[in-house]
Amino acid sequence: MKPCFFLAAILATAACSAQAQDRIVAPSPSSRAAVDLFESAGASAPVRQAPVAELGLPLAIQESKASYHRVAIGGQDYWIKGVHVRILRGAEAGCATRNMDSQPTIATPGAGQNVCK
Amino acid sequence: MSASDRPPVAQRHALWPLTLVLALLAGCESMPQALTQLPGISSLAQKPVSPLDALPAPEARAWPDPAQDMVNQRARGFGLVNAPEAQRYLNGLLARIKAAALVPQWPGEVHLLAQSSLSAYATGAGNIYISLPWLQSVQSEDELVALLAHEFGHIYLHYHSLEGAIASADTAAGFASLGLGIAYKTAQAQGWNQVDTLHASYALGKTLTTALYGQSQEGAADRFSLHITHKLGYSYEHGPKAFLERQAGWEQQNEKLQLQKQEALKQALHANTLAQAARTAPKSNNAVSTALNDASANLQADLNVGMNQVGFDLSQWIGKLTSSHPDTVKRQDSLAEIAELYPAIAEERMPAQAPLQAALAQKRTQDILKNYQTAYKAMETPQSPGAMALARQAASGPTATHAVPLFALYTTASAQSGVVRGLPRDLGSLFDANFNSEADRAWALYTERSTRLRQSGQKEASKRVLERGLQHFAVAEEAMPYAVKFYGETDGWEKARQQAQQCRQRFPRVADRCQSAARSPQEVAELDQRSEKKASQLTDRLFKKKK
Repeated sequence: MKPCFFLAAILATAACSAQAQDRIVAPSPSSRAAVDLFESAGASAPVRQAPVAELGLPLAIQESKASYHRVAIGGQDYWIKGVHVRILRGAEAGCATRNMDSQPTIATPGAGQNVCK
Repeated sequence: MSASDRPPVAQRHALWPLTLVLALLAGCESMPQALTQLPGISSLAQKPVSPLDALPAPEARAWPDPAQDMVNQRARGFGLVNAPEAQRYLNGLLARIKAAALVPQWPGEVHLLAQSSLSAYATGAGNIYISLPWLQSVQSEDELVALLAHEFGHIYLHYHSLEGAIASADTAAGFASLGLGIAYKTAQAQGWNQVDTLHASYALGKTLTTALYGQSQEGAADRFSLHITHKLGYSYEHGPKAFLERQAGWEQQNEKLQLQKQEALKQALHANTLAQAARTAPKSNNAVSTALNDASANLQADLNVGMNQVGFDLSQWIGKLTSSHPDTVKRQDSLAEIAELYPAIAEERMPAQAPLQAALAQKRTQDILKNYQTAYKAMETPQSPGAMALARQAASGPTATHAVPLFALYTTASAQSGVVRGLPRDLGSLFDANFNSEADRAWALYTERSTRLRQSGQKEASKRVLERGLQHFAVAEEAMPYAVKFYGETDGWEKARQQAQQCRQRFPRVADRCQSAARSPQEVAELDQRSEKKASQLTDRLFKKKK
């Protein structure tokens, strides 16, 4: 395959936008050493506390109910409080218009960095 | 330094940016004075106040015209999306945010940006601009309000006072370098001199100062958003926290794409170098010289890939250093720590999903969102078999006159071989639908049309298109740099210089861009040559110093 075609093919694949599956990636705030594990969403008290190292991050979210997320830790299902963890959320966005998009300026403070390059 | 002491040419080229940055960092003492006096600069490390306390009173200010500001934003990128029902919903939310901030009478509205990325910003006129994908990505009204409140926070906290401070600092630096320049004129006309050092350290100092200021303001806008969303009864978890998590997810998604692209580029570069070496290597008929040729080609390929990697890593590092936004994780942690400190902030609240879903289910809004997504898909792979059908669908119904769908149709049809059935032979004429629609006009389509016409030798037609565009965009500063360059290329560079002068008087914010646009190709080449020479001299000097 010619290098230019190879490059074009990879770039085209890379350009496709996709909404990634939301997953738990870290405790929140990052300094939190342990996370409460609940038997059910909204339970009044945790069944136990798990040190962050034991969680096996990132964790796939199996179900969400109000402010709790069900996850599997060590082969067992638990509910984790949403405010205790940082979630990586997907976006229905891409970089299709990047060639024309304007760059942020001092006059246009944005919500985040401009990441389409 | 003798020729043999110098690093190879390719390496020296790749090292210029690094040595320049190191040299400039050494000159950081000359921080722009006007910038150090901005509110918040000296109190970056201050502990945030409670988000439950009343907001500090806003600074008094003069408001630029929001309508003119909107025209200006239409001249940026693909401009704005005309989606009346969605905008009505968003403006209802903004009105509640203003009321919660006790400034219900402030000017400004929410507008939708025709960008495929997650993008949002606020202007000094009080307007907030968010890209369409935000509407499709947020999962509740809480998150949307958090985004709008963050942007409104920039307005409330008067972030835009930075513009005035920069203009003053630029003027002061200009005078300072002028004085030094005169002093140096007789002494040292060649090489890297003190004027260059002053310019460079000022530029870097300004960049770092504005980056720091921007970072402190982002934190303040996040805390403002926390305050407002809580006051309005929205949830921290589904509001400000979810908003930052989505922003972080988007950044990470793109970082991954950047790495993939870089990897692809490295492989292509490697393959290309090997192919080139095979073509130029002397023919050999024995195994030893063939092996030597191969080894040499591989070495060269690895060297090229290595240099490319150095450039990539360096640009990422500089990007992080000069970003106006702090690391998103730091922003998330900062809010999470406040939520821990003030449990009332983190109390469980159900997310408001129904009103958002109802707004997105509105027929025209739904069609607009669907057609833009279709347009983005067509633009990403315009040569793919289904792209033409997607582009036709995108430029139909409520978006038949919108810039992005029309551009998708134009680029997709241009990528096909031969004339496309049902479309004009002159594909650029597709843009007329946009030019004739008051609510949808985008400056980008005028520039694309006039550039193509000029490139195909139709100078007068090209000029007519541009002048037609300027009838609507003459008040937009963002349109000026292109117009200056255009007139330089069609009517001569003297006219371009005159226009750049007018641009400087009318639109100080884009004065430098207009001045650059007024440079003839010859002037640009000379400037590039001079810059390269100076960079080379600086590199040599630094290498010599280290010996």
